[in-house]
Amino acid sequence: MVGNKALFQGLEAEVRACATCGSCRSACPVYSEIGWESAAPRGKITMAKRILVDRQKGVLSEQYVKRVFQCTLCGGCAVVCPVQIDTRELLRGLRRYLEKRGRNPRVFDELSARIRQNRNISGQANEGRLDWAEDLEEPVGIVSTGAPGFQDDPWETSRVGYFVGCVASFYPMVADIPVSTVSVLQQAGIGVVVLGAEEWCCGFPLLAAGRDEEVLPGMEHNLAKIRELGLKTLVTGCPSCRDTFNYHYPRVLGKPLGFEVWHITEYFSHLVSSGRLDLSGVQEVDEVVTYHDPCDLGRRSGIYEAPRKVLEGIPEVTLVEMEDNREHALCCGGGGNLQVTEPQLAERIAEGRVDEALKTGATVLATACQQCVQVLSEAARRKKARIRVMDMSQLLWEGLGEAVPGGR
Amino acid sequence: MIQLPKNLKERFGSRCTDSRFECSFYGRDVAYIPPFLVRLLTRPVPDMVFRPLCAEEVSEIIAFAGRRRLAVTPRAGGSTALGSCVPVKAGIVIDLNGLKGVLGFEAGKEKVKVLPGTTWAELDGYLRRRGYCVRSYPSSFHVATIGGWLSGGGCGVGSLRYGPLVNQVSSLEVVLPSGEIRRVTRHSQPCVSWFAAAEGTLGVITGVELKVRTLPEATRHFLLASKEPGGLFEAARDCARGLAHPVYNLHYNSRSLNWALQTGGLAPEPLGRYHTLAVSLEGTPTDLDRAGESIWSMVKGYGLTMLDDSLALEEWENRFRLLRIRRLYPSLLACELLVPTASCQQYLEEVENLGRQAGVRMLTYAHIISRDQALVMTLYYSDEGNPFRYLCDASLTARIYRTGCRLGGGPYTIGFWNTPYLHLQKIHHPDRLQELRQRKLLLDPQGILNPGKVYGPTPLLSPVLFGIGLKAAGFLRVFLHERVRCDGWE
Repeated sequence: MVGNKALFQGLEAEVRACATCGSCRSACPVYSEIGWESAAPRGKITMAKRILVDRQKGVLSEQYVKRVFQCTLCGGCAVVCPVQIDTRELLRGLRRYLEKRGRNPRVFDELSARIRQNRNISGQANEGRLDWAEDLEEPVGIVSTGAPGFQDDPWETSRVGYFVGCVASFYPMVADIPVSTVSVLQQAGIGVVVLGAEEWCCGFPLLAAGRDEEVLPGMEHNLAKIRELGLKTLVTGCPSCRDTFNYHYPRVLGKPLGFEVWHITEYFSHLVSSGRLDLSGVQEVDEVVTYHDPCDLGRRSGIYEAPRKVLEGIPEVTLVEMEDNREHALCCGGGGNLQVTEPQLAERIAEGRVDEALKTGATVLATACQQCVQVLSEAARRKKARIRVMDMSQLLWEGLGEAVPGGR
Repeated sequence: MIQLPKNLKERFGSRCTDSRFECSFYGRDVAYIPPFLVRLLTRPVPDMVFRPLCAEEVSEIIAFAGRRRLAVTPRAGGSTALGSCVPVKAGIVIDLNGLKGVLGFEAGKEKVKVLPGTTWAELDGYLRRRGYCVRSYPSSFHVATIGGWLSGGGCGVGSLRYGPLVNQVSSLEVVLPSGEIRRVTRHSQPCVSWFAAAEGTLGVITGVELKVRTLPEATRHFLLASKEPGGLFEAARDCARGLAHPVYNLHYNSRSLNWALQTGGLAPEPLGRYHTLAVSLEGTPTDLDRAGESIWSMVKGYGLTMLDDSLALEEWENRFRLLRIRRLYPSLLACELLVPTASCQQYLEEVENLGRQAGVRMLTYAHIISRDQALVMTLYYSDEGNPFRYLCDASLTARIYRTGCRLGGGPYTIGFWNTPYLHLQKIHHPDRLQELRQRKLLLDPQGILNPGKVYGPTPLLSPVLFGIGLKAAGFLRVFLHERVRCDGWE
């Protein structure tokens, strides 16, 4: 965590350290919707103190378990915590604590089973991970040689691995995000290699469910496959995958990964500044764009300027900021498995963020996360809002001359 | 237990509750008090909680409470430490966080009308987007609300230049204990000042009109340091007297506090070697240059050290993170009191001596809030996990208050837990206390609004019983002395 230098020294230590001052409440999208003190991070930690520190009996109720899972793990509370507690890790720790005692919502058993059986969150066969690639003009390299579409990498020095992520791979609403991503990369002369069916869920949803141990098979498999390819750079459009690779995997391994993992917006920004991706001659995108900072990309990883730099580089794009931006950006509601446990609450949070975007007068709500795109698009549709929700890659590819299917 | 009446349940829907689970979260504030003591002295968990959205709803709740003779405790941020927003007699908690937002902003008059549940961070954010900002604010900026800080003392960052919050308030909308919604001004009867620092005992504030200011042209921060505090307090008094105009804020940290923060990795070297005074200037660049020269003169004149600009900026940015000391010492006991600036050095010496005798390290910081007064916080470590030791350690609080009062100061707020000191330390002149009680009697003859606070202790906290308790705790603490010394404090 950047900015407030949030720290985490173990669940009980952080619970003890919490001053219960309540600063966290002001930044909490769940508290903002529910309104009861028990829904705020302070309330959740106050009860955790009773359970873990005071050892009070009979306070671990179903109501409390429900509250612990009413959290998007957005980390907004950590930004304002005067005790510098990494509240996101604390709440994840609470979920682990509940999981070990068999108190977590059973709906996560289904999630675990899906990932265990299919290696992705969708429940579909993992062989379908590359269905989106049928829309590509140029094929991408795939790990399994002999698979349709594989070609030798002609850009040996410019080869990147692209970790697509479960949402972009399987959910039709955002299927053109990987198409746009790869197309932009190819336009910049970058060879793209994907893992195809050998890409397994990174494990982020399991971490959010407090099931850390179940992440190991996916981690070991993904790392083995990436190392087999000898990749030095892995890019992903999913901030949560990036977070898992960059923070969780090395923590479990006890050593660095041995390759770099970039978010695609960092990589685009790098391509623009190094001159490999020239935006000056692209088709004008006459839009007023507001940018939504995904929680795992912004607060978690400190990447605020790279996407803005790319947006500002697109001719005729006018970038306007929402009131809550960068480290204070509101969550889209799509994090922390809230969609699994409380879909209606997640929807209300998303609608709040769309409202904030509408106040700017923007015609496009851009973001850099397929989950945010999915959740915010749905919210905009429910509200019949006249705003297009787009991933950065879609906007960029549109600017580069390719109409995005399902656009206006 | 009192049940939520059907008509109010229908009226408020999901904005009211009598669930034991939900109500339990409203039975405490930031201070840790051993549960057995809380249960012995109070009934802190309310019977029901309401989350109104307007003054009319507040009025309706109060009228209901009046009919049923239920205690009503207003609460917003819940960031007090003396029980001001925690029920003493259960009853009703009115959660005011739903009364949030800016109702009107007159840029020309630098005036804003705001709902009381708006936090200082939210109001300041609103104003900054328009080229304005608040005049002063609490260090609990992100949680403290406009109404809550006014109901407390209203002194903090920026008070040196703009005075306590009440000086900036031109009018209030208040729901009186009778249920009447009334607008009060600085000159009406009752007037604005009655409700400032009244801790919600005279009425529930439902609207505030206050002065704001344009964003300063420039800001600059200095961090003065010294191994002895004397020169720093001299410099602070010079700054407060206007010798380094335009000073916006002065913040002092004791060496023991800096040392603790540094050794815990929460402050950089060389802070741990010094007492520090953070001087923040706001004004025109020319004014700041001139003030900077004055500050340099003070540094030379008083034999101080000027620390690096980056440290000064970091200290300023840490103004909202005073509680980070809890990372090192999660069980802190605290005293917050007003001390004359002329006596700050003596206060510090005496309190640190007291700490040495008692085997605890006293950690002190202060905001200089006027020419004559500093708002001082002294913290010391105890152990919440050991209620016996915790209570014995708490006896030191009385000795710290006694020191502060002897030097012309006194507790900053009263709440519930400081009510015994009204008599023990004679916080108010008897005439003043009488006047405050008359106001309460006039506006709230039934005594339904936030009972047990501000005006006098409940029977179990009577000065005699409380005094005996303190003496016993102090006596027993002697037997813990050696063990505490072995904790590595010295």
